[in-house]
Amino acid sequence: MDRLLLGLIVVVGVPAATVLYVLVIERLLEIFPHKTRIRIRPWLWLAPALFLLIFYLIYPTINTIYLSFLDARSENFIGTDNYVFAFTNNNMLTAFRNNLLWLVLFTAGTILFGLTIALLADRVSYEPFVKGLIFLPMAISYVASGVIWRLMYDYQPPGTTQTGFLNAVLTAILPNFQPQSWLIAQPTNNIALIAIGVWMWTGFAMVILSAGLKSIPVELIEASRVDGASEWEVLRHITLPMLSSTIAVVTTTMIINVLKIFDIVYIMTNGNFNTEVIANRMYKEMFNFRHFGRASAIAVILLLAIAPVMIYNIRRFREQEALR
Amino acid sequence: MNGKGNRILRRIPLHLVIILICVIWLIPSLGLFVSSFRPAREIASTGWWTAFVPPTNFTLDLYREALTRAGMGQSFTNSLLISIPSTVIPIMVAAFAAYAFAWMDFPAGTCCS
Repeated sequence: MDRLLLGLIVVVGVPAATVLYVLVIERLLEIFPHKTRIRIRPWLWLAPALFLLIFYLIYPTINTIYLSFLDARSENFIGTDNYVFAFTNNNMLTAFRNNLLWLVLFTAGTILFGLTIALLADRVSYEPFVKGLIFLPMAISYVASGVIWRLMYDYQPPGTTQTGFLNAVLTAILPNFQPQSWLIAQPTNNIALIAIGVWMWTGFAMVILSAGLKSIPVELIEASRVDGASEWEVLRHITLPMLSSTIAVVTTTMIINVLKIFDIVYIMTNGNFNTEVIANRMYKEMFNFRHFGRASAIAVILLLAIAPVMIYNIRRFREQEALR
Repeated sequence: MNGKGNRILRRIPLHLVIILICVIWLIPSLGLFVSSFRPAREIASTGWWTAFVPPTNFTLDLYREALTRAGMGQSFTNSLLISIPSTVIPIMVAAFAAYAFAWMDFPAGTCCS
């Protein structure tokens, strides 16, 4: 019960404190002359957000960078050893390779499926139903997806009843098919994991691409049809070029997503059978091996890998805002 | 009339492809849904698609067990305790910051607006 009370205090208290803070600073500002007031007021209004950013974002980031140059228990300075480890250790190299595989297949998969479904569904009357159905996995948590796909990928020895849907279907259709242990057989187990990611995130890509599709003026497409363009030519020369900025936004979002990918691998294989990814490796160094230095170094590498994509994404967003 | 019939006929592959994609996307979730109504022993021994073959054996046991198991109420409370403040607080704090950015003269505001 005291937990509930605490929750209530936080939910009511923090907003109330913020409002109180604004009222107090507004009162205090009256003391100052008009010119000073105008200059410092925005900063005071911004202060709560800045405070949160500094203590919850900037300080931990700097601390992580600092820890990445210390040893396992953060006691001695060991230079760049952790980074050397991150780029030479065999498991780390596997993780980098897998992340690259994820990057290519996951991004391509979500965009291709998302675009195809958006384009096809655009032509039928039951589009909302199709979109809702494809978007459904987005509402399912990673852990639940893990449970779902265990039922799909389940493996029983040949000759016995197959309880996994994929093995059951394939053994029924193909006469000579041997049941596969999808999560163990290398290197296809990575692709099996990526398929889960694509299943979950295609809905997201589809919704954004579909919205972009709807914003293409109908006149443009009709005019090109009148001019005798085939469906393929309309797609190739009008729809896709008009969609290019939307595709870019979805691609960068997916890249950011995929570089941070952790849950699917953690739940399905826990990085065994050569399926490790960078974030998974970071988790292991931190919570299994308690090596703060290495975990921090991997975190910094991940941050540096994502930052350029993030900056590009924000720039793009701002350009589009400026056009409005 | 003939032209209209032709048009419908030509659109059949389109419908088939869309329906096929929908079925593929739905199967994993459907499997989970069906499994949740089956006895635990059967989930381990046969595939969920066999559940519809008579004699059918559906049960709410697993739901009963999940909802009444110790710690479940606590978990729900915890979820709410985390999700509600983490929605309310950032919106509140960001609203003041956004107000400052949008309506006040900001010497450095040009970088972020």
